[in-house]
Amino acid sequence: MKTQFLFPNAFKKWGWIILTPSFILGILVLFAASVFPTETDSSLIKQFGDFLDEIALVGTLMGLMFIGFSELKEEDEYVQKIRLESLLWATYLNIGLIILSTIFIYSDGFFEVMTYNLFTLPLFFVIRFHYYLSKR
Amino acid sequence: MKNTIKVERAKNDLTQEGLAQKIGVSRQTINSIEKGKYVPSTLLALKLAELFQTTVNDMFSLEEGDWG
Repeated sequence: MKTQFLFPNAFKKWGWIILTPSFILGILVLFAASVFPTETDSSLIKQFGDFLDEIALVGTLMGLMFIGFSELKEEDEYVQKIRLESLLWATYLNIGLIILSTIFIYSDGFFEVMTYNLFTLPLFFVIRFHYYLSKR
Repeated sequence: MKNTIKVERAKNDLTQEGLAQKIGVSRQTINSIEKGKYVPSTLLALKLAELFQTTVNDMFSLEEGDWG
């Protein structure tokens, strides 16, 4: 009985292949900005540098989506239950963190938290999903 | 909810893996059902009952806590 749309199993592997470099790139862009081109570099390099954060975020989101929403080899109703429960749990956690950061963090710090928030929901989901898959 | 899957499996000389393959789920799912961690869907319960030539009512039974 097929009730949900999921990506084919092969997408899971591609999810990891896309996520790994994108996530590392994302961390570099966020925390090691100095390794990337600065104002003084030639305009071509600088334009490429401007795209790095976009590439990192799109790659991270697509990677997490493929990893979390691809059919497993042994996809069955129990796996689907774990997947949906993990999604619910991740959503609660994400909302909780947004509320806390809204109350306690302001201006630039809040902007930074919102940047992480672009990908935390699928990240929490993927972590929780795989933890419970391994605990079955 | 209690179930007699483990007993039925022993009677039919089936491993968890063997049973899983017959009804199209993973071994972990059979294991979780036997341990009471997961309650199978009606569809899966009917498949199990048909495979073991028994009825769902004979395989699965309610416990006190299920009424809470």
